[in-house]
Amino acid sequence: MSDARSRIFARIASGRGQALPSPEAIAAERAGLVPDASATQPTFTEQDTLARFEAMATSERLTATVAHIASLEDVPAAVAAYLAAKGLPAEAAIAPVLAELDWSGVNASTAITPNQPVAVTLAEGGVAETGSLIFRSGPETPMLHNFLGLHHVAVVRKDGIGRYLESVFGPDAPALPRIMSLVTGTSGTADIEAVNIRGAHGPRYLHILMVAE
Amino acid sequence: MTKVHPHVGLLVTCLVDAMRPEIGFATLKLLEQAGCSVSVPETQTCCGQPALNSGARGEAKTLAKRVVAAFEPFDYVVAPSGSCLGTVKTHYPELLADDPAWKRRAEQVAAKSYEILSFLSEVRNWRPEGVRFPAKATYHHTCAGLRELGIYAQPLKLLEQVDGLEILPLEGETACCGFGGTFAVKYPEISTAIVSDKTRQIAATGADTLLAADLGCLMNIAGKLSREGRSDIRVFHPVEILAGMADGKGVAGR
Amino acid sequence: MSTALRSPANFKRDAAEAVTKPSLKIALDRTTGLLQRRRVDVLKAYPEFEATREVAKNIKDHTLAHLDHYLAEFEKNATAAGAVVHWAETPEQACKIVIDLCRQADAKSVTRVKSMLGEEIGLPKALAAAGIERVETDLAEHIIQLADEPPSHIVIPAMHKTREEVADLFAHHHKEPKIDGEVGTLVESARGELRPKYVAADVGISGANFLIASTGTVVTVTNEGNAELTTELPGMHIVTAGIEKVVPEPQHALVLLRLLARSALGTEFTQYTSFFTGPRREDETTGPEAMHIVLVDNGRTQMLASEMRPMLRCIRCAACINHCPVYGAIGGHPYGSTYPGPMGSVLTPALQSLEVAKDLPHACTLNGRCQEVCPVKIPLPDLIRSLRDDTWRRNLVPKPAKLAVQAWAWVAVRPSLYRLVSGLANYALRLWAGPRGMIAKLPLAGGWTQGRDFPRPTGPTFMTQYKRRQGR
Ligand code: SF4
Repeated sequence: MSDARSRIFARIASGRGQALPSPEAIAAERAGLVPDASATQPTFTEQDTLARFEAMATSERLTATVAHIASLEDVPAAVAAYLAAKGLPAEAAIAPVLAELDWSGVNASTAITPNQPVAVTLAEGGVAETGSLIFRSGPETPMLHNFLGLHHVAVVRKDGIGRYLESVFGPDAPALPRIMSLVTGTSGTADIEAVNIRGAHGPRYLHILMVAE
Repeated sequence: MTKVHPHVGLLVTCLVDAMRPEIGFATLKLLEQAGCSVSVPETQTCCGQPALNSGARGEAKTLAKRVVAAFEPFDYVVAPSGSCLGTVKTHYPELLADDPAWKRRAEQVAAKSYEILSFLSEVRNWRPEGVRFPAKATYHHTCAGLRELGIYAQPLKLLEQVDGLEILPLEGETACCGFGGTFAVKYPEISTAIVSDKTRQIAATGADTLLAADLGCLMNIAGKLSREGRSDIRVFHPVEILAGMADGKGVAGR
Repeated sequence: MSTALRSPANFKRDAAEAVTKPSLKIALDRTTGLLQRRRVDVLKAYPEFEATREVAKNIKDHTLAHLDHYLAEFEKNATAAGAVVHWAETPEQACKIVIDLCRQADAKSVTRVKSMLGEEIGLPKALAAAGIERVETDLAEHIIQLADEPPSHIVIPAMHKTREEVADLFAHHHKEPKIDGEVGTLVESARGELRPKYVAADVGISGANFLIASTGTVVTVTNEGNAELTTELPGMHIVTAGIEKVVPEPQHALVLLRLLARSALGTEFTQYTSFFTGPRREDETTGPEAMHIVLVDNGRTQMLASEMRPMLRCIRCAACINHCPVYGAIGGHPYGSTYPGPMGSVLTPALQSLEVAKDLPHACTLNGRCQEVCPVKIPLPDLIRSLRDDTWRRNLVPKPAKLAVQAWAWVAVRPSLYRLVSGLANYALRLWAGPRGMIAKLPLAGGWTQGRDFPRPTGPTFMTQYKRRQGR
């Protein structure tokens, strides 16, 4: 196995025909590869960050719905309202990170089943450019909760929504978790005649609760 | 090169020479109308594109050198074909790259080479006057002209000024017609399948005339239209219209 | 067409057969047409496209020029995150590593996320040979698994299937099929069929769209969310990836991701973009306990050292395929390879051999549309031309064709002889045509006149007439 590795590396080196430049030289070139990230970012000056996020997420293609709430404490009531509006029973799987909230109106459990009708999770933030939600795996935020529900209710704080994808990896961002998923709208497929269909494997409905606080 | 009467070397192209001389004479006439003095070097045969596209680089090089040598003396080189001119302009310098002297010569020739419609429109600022061709036409943009030479608006600008000529929009106007030089003979089934899309789209425009600026593509499309019995659609090279010489039979024999 | 029979060596025959299938034509037209229009629409709102292409090209070129450096960096960081990195030079080695890992996990069933590298190395067959049940979770892969067919497209592997054909398949194979003529109902049927299988799988296998060197991260994109379900539920996650997938840092992956979704499906961004860094962490109770990354060469180091190097910039978006008139006429199967269309015509000779794939570089009109749409600016027509040069040099061009070109070139350097020959040909054609303007059957040009007429020359050659006019 390590033989394969050394032969692959040898072929790469011999194909280059010259010595590998010093790490410093490579690093210098690498630092200049994206001279100006904004040149690769779509402009949306007419909209502010939050308006763009909401417009993208609720676009015809991403099909999410959005509700605004004042604080995290309002999440259970907003979930209950969503369930009622959809005619669903007052039951949901919730991410452990949300378990501290007062769920008295909803039969909420942190356990999740393969055919979970509704799951409620907390996003770390969002990206206005694409209308994406950012989810990081962790003991309090298990990743499956974001994928198994037919209805996914995602909570996101407005101040966690950055302008461009680069904000996810900014200098202040924490180290990468085991999985970080950028969820952009609902599960979809275009595999049959390129027709866009929702709810291929993951959630068919995405409801975003934007928290003001 | 801002001469009042530049001296142009006309690259007739082997297909126009053998199959449809009218296109050559129309080009000649237009160049003269645009104030050029025109010569037709007698040593020209073919630009070598079939060799180049077959992978026969050696043969292609020999032919490229001959064309470069034959056309060096002129102020401009002009051809009524985007693909032949594309060969001269984009492929010769690369083909002759391993010989610095030839490479330089090829680059010099390439720099003064133009497809006829872009030459008339951009270099000579020529516009048709008093040309009449009452027809509902549609325009197919040929691939080499479009993608190797960037010709898109120029022909339409010229045709706009022809009296009585209306240009109808063509779906897939920039999609390949399936000719591809020797491809049309090597893979006839595929080539025919591709050109059937083209003729279907042409028929859907309701046009009575099809225009395109490369004889290879014209023969392919006309050949398919003819096989489909579409005798209502005539096929011409735009220079034939612009030179007022489209009064005879079109490429499809009508 | 079953998987066993496909080879690029049969290209001519299979292509000629493909153009006669009306359902294939319908499926291709519906799909490629829609994808082309969507791409145009999404790029209207992204004037930064051209600038971004240039940046993307530079990122890939820089990484390829220092590939060993970045692979080592990736290996170091992935290992630090707890993943195990394996190296394979050939498809056989790669499959063996995967199968051994599956055995180690005592796997009876594996779920798989669509990965073209997996197809390239023949992983589906290897799993079958090892007696391991394989569940394809990508809808398109699920469809062609049921049909026992190879993929015909790299982004939409079942592009050759109409909804009617899919409905037939589901009716036969699904436990509780749902069918009513709507595409949405078919998707529902597949969802119901596949959900229990995610849960039952012992190993999840994915590919990688990018590998990030600075963090040791594997990036996948899907629209369905099947990558996360596939890799999160079983105890082991195996990644198979080509060595050219590495990029230096997350910011570089972002630039390429902006191009990928727009070029592939005409959307701003893919629905699920996930960054996997190592296996389950100490404080977690879910996620795979083991993560293995198998990095595959399979001809790539050779391409790196050849004129084909720009091809390694490819991010597998399929824009070139969606815009290729030849693909649009014949679909993916005649290419006899995982990779069809323009990118396949360059990759297949490198991954298999030019001998078996000698038709592919010639089966192209050189119309240049592929290069025009390629997000990483791969000069596909130039690479295809260069492969044609190789077929000529290595005597892979049919003898008669070669002789014809040589004879014609020999004549073309002798102007007086050329005038004589072209004059004769011109005359003979006019004679053969008689009074008709078009020729329906032409000896020696049967290929042409099989589906098209050939015009009769309108008169003597230009040169003849020109000389006459000059009074000579
Ligand atoms: S060659 Fe270019 S256009 Fe084709 S799949 Fe690769 S990246 Fe996309």
